[in-house]
Amino acid sequence: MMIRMSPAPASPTPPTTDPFTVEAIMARLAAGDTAAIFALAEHHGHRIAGVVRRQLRTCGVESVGPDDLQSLVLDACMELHGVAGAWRPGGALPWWWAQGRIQAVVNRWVGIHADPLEDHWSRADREVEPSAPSVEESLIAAFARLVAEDPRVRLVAEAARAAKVDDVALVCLLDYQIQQVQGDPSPAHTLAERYGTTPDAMRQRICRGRRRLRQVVATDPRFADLSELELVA
Amino acid sequence: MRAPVNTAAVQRRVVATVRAAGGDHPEVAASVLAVRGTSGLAPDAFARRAGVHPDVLRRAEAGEICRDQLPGPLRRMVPPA
Repeated sequence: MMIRMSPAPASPTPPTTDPFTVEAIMARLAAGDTAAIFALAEHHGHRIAGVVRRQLRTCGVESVGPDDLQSLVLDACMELHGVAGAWRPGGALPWWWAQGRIQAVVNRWVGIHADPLEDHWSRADREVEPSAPSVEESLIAAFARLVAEDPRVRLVAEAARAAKVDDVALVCLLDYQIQQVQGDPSPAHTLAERYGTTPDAMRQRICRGRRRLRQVVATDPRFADLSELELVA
Repeated sequence: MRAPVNTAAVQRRVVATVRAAGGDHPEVAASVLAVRGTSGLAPDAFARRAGVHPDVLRRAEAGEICRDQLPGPLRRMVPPA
């Protein structure tokens, strides 16, 4: 993941006696202080490693070498750097709060290293290679693919068109939902940065899109099947 | 395992980050960032402690200054190439 380098902030450390608490380090990362990555890795790397190991186990990887573990923990630290601005003290610890992102890091690694023999045989029989589910696809690309493959997703896209919710707004709505499901306490902050807007404007966009979609689903019988979707709830 | 990540490994990642951000001297930047990062000091406090101007520290951490042009206290934090 690409981390944006910001000029070192004037005094990002909050008023605390210990500069290595999770809160202090996350505040420094949120302020763009790249140096705080060292503190995160040194003082909390073992906790992040715990989450990484747990995620590896869910992928069926019971043991991992120290170099690979180190690399995964560093990837996770970089992910936390990227989302530090959206994390709020008082909630879940950052590595639990962002475990969806850490899971994606682990999935990528497992995807790269898992190379079972059957795949070679089955691949030889197929003309088109399927995309590995562990590879993170852009949301827009994933949505476009699902529209083509899944009638229910196609219906959502049609409902969005009928509701005059454009593709970008719809993807934004989905992104918001994903952040919520992943436990992001403030999806508006996370997405505002990603979409180059303010959290307030992002909330308005989500609210407006959801309202329009809900209205169409409630009034147009073609979209009645979508009424139970969380997206319009 | 208490610390699964060593400083040199973090430094290598930070070198890549600084290079991607356009820094001309990413190794210098990463070395200075490593010392300040492990000290836990904010830039101003660290610059004061090291006896350098905060702007020099900011530029060093952005990879804008080569080792030879760093003031002594910062140069000592950067191993020779």
